[in-house]
Amino acid sequence: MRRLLANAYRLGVKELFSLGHDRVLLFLIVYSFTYAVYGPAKGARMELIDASVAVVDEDRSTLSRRIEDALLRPYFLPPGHLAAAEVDTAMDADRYTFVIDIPPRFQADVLAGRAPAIQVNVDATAMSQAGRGAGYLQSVITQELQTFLNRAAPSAPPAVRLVVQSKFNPNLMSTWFNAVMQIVNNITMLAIILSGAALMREREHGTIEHLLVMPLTPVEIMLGKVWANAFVIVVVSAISLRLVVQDALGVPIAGSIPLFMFCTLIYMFSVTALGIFLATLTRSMPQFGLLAFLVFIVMNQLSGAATPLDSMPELLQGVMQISPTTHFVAVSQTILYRGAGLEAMWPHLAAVAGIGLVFFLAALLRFRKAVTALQV
Amino acid sequence: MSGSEPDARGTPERGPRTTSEQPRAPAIETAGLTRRFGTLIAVDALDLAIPAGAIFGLLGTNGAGKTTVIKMLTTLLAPTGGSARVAGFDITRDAAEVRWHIGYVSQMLSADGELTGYENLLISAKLYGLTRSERRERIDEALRFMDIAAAADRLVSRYSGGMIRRLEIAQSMLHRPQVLFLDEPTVGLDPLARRVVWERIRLLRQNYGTTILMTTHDMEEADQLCDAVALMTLGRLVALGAPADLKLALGPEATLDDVFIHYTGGAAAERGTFQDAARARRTAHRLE
Repeated sequence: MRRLLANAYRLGVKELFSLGHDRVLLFLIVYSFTYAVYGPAKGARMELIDASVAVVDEDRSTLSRRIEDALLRPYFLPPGHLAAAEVDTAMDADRYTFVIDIPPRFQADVLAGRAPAIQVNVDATAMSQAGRGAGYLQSVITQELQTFLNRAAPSAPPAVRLVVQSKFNPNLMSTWFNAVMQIVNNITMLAIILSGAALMREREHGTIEHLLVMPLTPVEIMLGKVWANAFVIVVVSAISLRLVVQDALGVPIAGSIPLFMFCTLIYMFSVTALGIFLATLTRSMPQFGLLAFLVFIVMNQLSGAATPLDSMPELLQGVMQISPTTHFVAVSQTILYRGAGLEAMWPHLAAVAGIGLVFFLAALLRFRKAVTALQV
Repeated sequence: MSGSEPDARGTPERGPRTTSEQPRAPAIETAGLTRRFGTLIAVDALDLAIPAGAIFGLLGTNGAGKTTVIKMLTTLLAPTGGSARVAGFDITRDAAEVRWHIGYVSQMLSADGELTGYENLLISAKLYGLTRSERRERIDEALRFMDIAAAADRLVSRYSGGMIRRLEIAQSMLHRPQVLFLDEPTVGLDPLARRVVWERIRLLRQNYGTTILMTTHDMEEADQLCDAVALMTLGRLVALGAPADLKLALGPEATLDDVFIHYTGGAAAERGTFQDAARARRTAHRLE
């Protein structure tokens, strides 16, 4: 056991030496945990901000102007004005996400109780803004109508008042969510790519053959790759969490970063083992690259990081329980957003470790056969 | 050669033996050694006995099975039939022991180009469990012996092809193996670099008494270096003997090229695979 650990340590140090001399990989790691976290977190907003809107005001009444004046920043850009005949052309040219068409005699019809219609045209290709914006416009228009009608004929206040409290992200800022999930995504992607590519590179160069004729076991060779890549990613992700997420993006972290690092280390075992396993299934770097991306995309999209797990079909929810990413996303959200401790998420952590062990054993079974098969 | 190796696993008798302790039995012995890949018989019932301290050449056409023989003897590939002993150990039952007693320089480049020459040697020495003082002594000696001491701190990716090969041989000799396997050690090297490698191989045997089994397509190399050669074709052994004897058997003017063509010419089937060609060219390209 002592020799196994000593050799795994030495092989890991060799990995670190190699990584230290590989400027392209170093750049990739730095990029993945700086701009690749900051950029999407800051830029890819899920909430309604600066949406482009135009009004077709065929009524030119007090009420129609009130509605137009209620479209304010930061939700909407100052509204543009269109004639009714220009609507289709403007939307085809992608000039506006929303076009509100207020018909002639609108105010008069409202006051007469004839329930006139306002048409809201939405460019649904802007998916997240379209959904949120349509709901927001409905709320703005309803509120303006209510206020206008109350002035005309005051009515009793509503019987129920809804009080909404958003826990863990009070202002529903997508940056808060994106920043942390981006780190989780990049941890997964880098762990698969770095560990698998390390094995593929050694296979293609022939250096792995040299290791296999030494008094080393595949377990030692694999553990060397696992710990070295895990170490680099855990350290860099912790630095990124502090400097990029907390300092640069101003996202408050509710939980313990050391606890998150500990959980990341266990997750790393799982995902680097997966990377090595995928490398044993392929015979060249391009094959590995394609397979790794296809696996990563599915693990990422269905992990609960992008959309809630509960909204997926039940069968898919069950299938995704065998992905370590699903459990790690739950662990990350529990620690970093909710500030919970180990007691709240140990079942997920145990699942990550168990899945990792399965991947590790599967990779181990294929290791020597896969390596020599390439070269005979 | 200095005293026996330290035992990194705690048993004092482990590790390669010194020259004086080498057994009288052949350093490499195969009996009906066979390897099949599906219906293809890559190596067909090979019988060999290579005495300790010999430089032995394994020659043959592309796809003759030379590399497969080396991979079986170095425990990289399990035989599907027959048996073999290397340094006194069975390659199947005692694979771990065999690995302690052999060195291997693959046809492909095994030195890590992203490390310096010294770092490559240091990692190998550590993995063989050498103590700190042994590491220092043997790395210095290996660098001097292979004439690459001045380049020890340079990245291997900046070495010439000949220097890389010498580094790899140095790496494979750090633990003083009884048997050294060289798979086409001079492929891709220019004539000058090739001769430097030959000289070092001779010195290895002379200074350390190492048994060397090498494969080559270069008949001049086999003629210059080897005490005995075996010719293989289509996985079978077709001739065995000292180069001088094999040449003499064909006539006073015969060269080893003539011997090669005589024994393999008729059967020089187009058996080398795309992979063989790609590997050889990749190695040659990296050595340029």
